[in-house]
Amino acid sequence: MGQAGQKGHERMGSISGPQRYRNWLLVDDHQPGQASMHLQCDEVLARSAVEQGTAVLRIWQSDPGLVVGQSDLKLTGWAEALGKMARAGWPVSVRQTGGTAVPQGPGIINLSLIWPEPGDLTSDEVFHALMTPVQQALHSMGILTRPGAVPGSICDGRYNLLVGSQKIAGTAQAWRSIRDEGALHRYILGHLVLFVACFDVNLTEVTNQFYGYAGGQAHYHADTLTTVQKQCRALMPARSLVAEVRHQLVTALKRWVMAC
Amino acid sequence: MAFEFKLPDVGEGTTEGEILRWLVNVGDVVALDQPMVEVETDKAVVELPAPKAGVILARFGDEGQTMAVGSTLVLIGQPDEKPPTALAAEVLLPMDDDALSAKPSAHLGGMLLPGIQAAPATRRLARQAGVDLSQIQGSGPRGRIVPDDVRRAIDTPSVREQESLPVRETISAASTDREEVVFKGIRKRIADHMALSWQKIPHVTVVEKMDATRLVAFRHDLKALATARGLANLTYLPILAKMVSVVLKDYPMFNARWDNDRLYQYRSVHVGIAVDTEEGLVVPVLRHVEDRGMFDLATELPLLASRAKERKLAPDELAGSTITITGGGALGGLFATPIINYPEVAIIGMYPMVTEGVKVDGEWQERPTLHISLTFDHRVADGVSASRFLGALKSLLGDPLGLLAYLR
Repeated sequence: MGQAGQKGHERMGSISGPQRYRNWLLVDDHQPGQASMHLQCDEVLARSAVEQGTAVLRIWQSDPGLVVGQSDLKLTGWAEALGKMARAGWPVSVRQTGGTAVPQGPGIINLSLIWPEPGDLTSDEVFHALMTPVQQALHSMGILTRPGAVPGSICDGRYNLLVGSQKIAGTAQAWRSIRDEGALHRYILGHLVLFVACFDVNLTEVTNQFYGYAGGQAHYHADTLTTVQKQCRALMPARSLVAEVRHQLVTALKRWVMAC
Repeated sequence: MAFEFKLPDVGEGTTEGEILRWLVNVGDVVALDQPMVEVETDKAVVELPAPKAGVILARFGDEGQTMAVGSTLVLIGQPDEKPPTALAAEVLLPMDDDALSAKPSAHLGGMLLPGIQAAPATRRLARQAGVDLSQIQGSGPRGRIVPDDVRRAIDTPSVREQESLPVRETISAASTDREEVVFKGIRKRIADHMALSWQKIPHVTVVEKMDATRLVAFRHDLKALATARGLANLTYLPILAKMVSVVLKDYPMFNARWDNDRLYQYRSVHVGIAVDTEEGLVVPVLRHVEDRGMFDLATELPLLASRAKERKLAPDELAGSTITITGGGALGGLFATPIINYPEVAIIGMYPMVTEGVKVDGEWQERPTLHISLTFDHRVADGVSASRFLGALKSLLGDPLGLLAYLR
């Protein structure tokens, strides 16, 4: 999962409170690799989380690619799109969580939340758990966000984070179960994707390209998307900004967990 | 008696869910908590477990079909039990247009959303294209929205773009004498930005009044040169911007940004210029003012201002300023206390030129008089350094030939 010195694992100790949690594992994962590897990592961590009764927060980034929801598997040109996108340098991976295609790359930060035994949680609470620390991290950089939908944006839904009327982050989740020694254990996997910088790639166009190949009717609009780089007016290089956002996110996640 | 398992509201206010994948078939024996079906509601893929053990007597809805919350998904009973005839007939109605025209929507097992009639494929198309179905008049049977209606809406910008209108929206309440004004787009962003700056920065404003006689003469002479070089106009703004960049060399703490509890001082001077537009103030950026001549700045300024008013500025033209200038020029008022363009640490105000009586050598004379202000972040600087910075700027504006002293 990671190389020594590249990844920070921190046990946050026992937490009790409104979030009902208990032990948290915060993983600041700097391991490079394709999105499919990171998605598998989530599944491995989910099993471990269920076994140990530990909730997990993991920050990760992947090589350029496209991550789609399961509903896209039904598109008529799915197999053809898979090959064409891979040849174009955008391999496609399928995630467990809902929604449609989301691009990945060096300017995009992902947050995975694994929440074992969710009890009577609602999906709204999980979305808020994903968004709140990210909102705090962005706020500390001078970017005010609010939840909402952006019609015409990539993977739209009620629980995007918006700056003005543009999307800067999106969320999705899956409620799953794992059989362990005969017993079924439920867990929730949440994903948040934060657009930090584009690195001169038109992320919307890449996504439209996929749906063009796959026979989907989707057509997204580039002006519905924004990035941290555009919003915080930072003069620092994009890679430095990504590192800074990760730093702020780790700080915000620690605070959020301690406040739970 | 068979147990009716209905699509639950897994969130708060969810009204529908799409069946992604069936995990059980009719006739399967299910254990308590065994996952039966995956449903997607607003990007949450939820595995719904069996609330009781038994045999699947019937399941309702196909993969890809959208079901309303509260509609029956599964009947669980005993091995030899049969599903109730009435329920099975009701929920197994086909979802084609003929069936719709023959049966009221309320009899379709909750497969349709109240008020909006559209097939799942149509809903998906609308969702992907960003079209609000509630804005569309359906052309199908009983007003049902069909894919062609959505495609027409995609070609009609008003339906999709309503969400991103930059201007404020007024909601009239006929029964009262008040109206609610909802801020959207640029106005909302300005509001958020102003509030953030006011919340985070302790603002202090210093104001100076100056005799602008020499400045007026300087601009007059320079304007003649500018006209000779083909420039349409030369306002005071490029002169002020240049002078600010010169004076900032001695006061770098005001050419800075406070990001993430860290202060970054900049060698380059990127001056934000507050431009009034119909949607509110926007702040395009004059870059590297320290390296540029006044004519160069005077050429770019009107272009930036007109592009701002036409909302044609690219995002990077609005980003990265290190200090901002705002002018009260034509609007009247003696002076103001501007709000700092967060996360910068200073904003300079220049106000209308007025004529005042000044006693010179014992005689009253009319002199052009100018007010300038410096609003600064009191975390970064104190009143002494702010007053010195503004005083230096005042001196240079009061005697523009002093610029020669900064030539290298």
